[in-house]
Amino acid sequence: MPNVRVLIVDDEDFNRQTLRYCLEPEGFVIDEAADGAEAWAMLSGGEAQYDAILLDRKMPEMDGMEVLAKIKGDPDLKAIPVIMQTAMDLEAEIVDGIEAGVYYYLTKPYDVDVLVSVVRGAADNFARLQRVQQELAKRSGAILLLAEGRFVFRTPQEADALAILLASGLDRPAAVAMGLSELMINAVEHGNLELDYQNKSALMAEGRWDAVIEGRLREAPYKDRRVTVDVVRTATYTRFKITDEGKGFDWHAYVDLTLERAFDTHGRGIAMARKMAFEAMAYMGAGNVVEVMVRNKPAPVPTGTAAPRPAIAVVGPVPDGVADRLHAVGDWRVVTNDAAAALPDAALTISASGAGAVTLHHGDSDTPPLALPGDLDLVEATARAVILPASMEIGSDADTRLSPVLTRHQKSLLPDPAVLGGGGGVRLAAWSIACSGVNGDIWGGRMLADGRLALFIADMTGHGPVAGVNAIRLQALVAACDGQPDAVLRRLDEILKQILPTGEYAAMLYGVVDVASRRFEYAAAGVPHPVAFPADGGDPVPGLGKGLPVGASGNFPYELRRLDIPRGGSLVLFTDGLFTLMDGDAPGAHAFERLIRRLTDHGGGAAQGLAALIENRPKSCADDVTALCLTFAE
Amino acid sequence: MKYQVSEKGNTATARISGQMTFSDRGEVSGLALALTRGNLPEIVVDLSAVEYIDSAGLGVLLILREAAQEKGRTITLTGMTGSVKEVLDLACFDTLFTFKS
Repeated sequence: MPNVRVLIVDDEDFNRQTLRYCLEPEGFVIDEAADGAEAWAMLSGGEAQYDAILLDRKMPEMDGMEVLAKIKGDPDLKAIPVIMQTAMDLEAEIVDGIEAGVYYYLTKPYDVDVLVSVVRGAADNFARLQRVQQELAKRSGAILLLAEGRFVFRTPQEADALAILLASGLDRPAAVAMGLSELMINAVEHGNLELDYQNKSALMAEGRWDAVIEGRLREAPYKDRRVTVDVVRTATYTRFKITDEGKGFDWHAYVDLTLERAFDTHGRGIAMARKMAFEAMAYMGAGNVVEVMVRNKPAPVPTGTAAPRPAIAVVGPVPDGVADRLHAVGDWRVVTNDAAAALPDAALTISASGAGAVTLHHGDSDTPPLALPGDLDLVEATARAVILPASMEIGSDADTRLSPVLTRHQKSLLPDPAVLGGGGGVRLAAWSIACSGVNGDIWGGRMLADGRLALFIADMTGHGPVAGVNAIRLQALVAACDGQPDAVLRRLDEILKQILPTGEYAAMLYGVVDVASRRFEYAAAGVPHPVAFPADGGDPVPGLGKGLPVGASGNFPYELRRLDIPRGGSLVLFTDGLFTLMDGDAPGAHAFERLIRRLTDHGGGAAQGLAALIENRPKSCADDVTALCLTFAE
Repeated sequence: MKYQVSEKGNTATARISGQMTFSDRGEVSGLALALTRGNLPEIVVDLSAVEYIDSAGLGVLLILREAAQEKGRTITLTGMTGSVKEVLDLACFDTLFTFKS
């Protein structure tokens, strides 16, 4: 064991001495730190390279958890195994420590043999990781060219070599190699060779483990058993299925890092591998088949001739620069003028609509085109969200560059509540707040030809620029829909199902108010219930917000519902983001009742109650919020 | 959101825990693959350990549903309680999924 260097961090002299006396005779080189601050200075100073750290949890100044967090936050240090030692065996603390990346938990007083075996195990593991990293650095990643295939092996050494080959070129290859190797060696030792974990601990302690493995590999029936690894690669993931020929094992106890197993010296590898290396892991059958999924390294954007490329058609005298901007949106074929007009399969068509404005038409859907001012940023943002939403994820360059213009445009689409409510004996108050960047909520309203007032609120799935563009598209679609509220939602459901990807939809409510009779006729698609508040502070009456979100099925039978508002009372509509402004409740019946009580108890009327809640909101909210309050004259 | 997939008999079961929200969209394709890979006819999504679900979390379920449908299978949701059940009820998800308590 060449120079394995261990840092002991403990504020008690006596404890440090004891550890030194236990470990030095075993060949470890020991350094000591008397508190967290000193330990951190030694670690970050980089004068010595440590192979393991023994860290006391409770210390004055900087405690063990704090030192651990600093180590795990430092790219050069985070891989060093940390063994946390504590006099307490409080379950919650141990779980915390494991979550924060502790390699092992040692409770005082400890057995010297256990101490030595844990420190040695940690240092070996670390040495192995470093070896794996060096091996990986030599690999080309050409194994990624294997789209599908099977490997067959027999020995732990073969498992190790194969794990490194399979992990090269993947995302976080060192962790994946360690994880695969763990599972593949398990398949040999505990699968084909039928050695159990209890045997392993005892044989390791006696130094006989390797000899037993060698022996079994030569004996019948074990010598003829093989492990197969099936590899299937898709665009984003690689799946490995590892199958052995043993009897299987009861894997249930080994897949989570349980408290019980936190103190074992063996049998923790599966849970560690699952936590550190894999997107998903599943044991199957009797436990002799395990499948894991690993994320591929994100591929560089392909250049050149990836065919067939989808096309964007640009038709007519659109503003200068639109075509150039669209060229920049992924790898699209941008076709202009006559050729564009004749293009049958364009993913997106952009046409001039006079006065410098444009209209966007999405794919082969028979939906009304979206009218936009001819602002290049706005056209680009909308095109990205429609045909390549991944290029405008929250935090991307495109998000940063284009979100301000989207936000401005979105705000310009909202009606003026004073104008909309004015003159008809009602007052409208409206709030729409984005939790970050662009708003995924939207609301709107207009006076219908028969003098009734149409209102809607909508909450697109998610937040950020793509949700914001979808909200803008929905706004345009609502404006183009006529008819009874239930028919409007049916039509919107049909259209959104065509134009949005699966998993994206709108929770919304659309309704029409007859101001004279104070009757609200509406249809709802999975929003909090609308509420009628009486003027005198009496009991509010909820409607029903239940319904499948618009765009989820394409053919949901929305129903027409009615809610009557008392004279002088208010109608309140809101999206579920409003619940997030109150502490502590997940959306649901309890949160709804609390909210309604809060608005009633405010005393100044529902509009003032809403204003107080929204204006005193926490600095950061978790969801976009929209609320409307329509108050009737006495 | 965390998940664990197990297979037993005819059924692939995903046990989901934690919060299902907007940030989990990245996980969904992996989960869908894990659930459909074994070609088992029944898929069960166990939501008993889900503490919170928002509209984007419901979107995750819709994507799983589509992935299952492409392979000719249906999904049963189990274990919904409290606010998770209320959110699913409000959104009429019983019209798209089989609910089993």
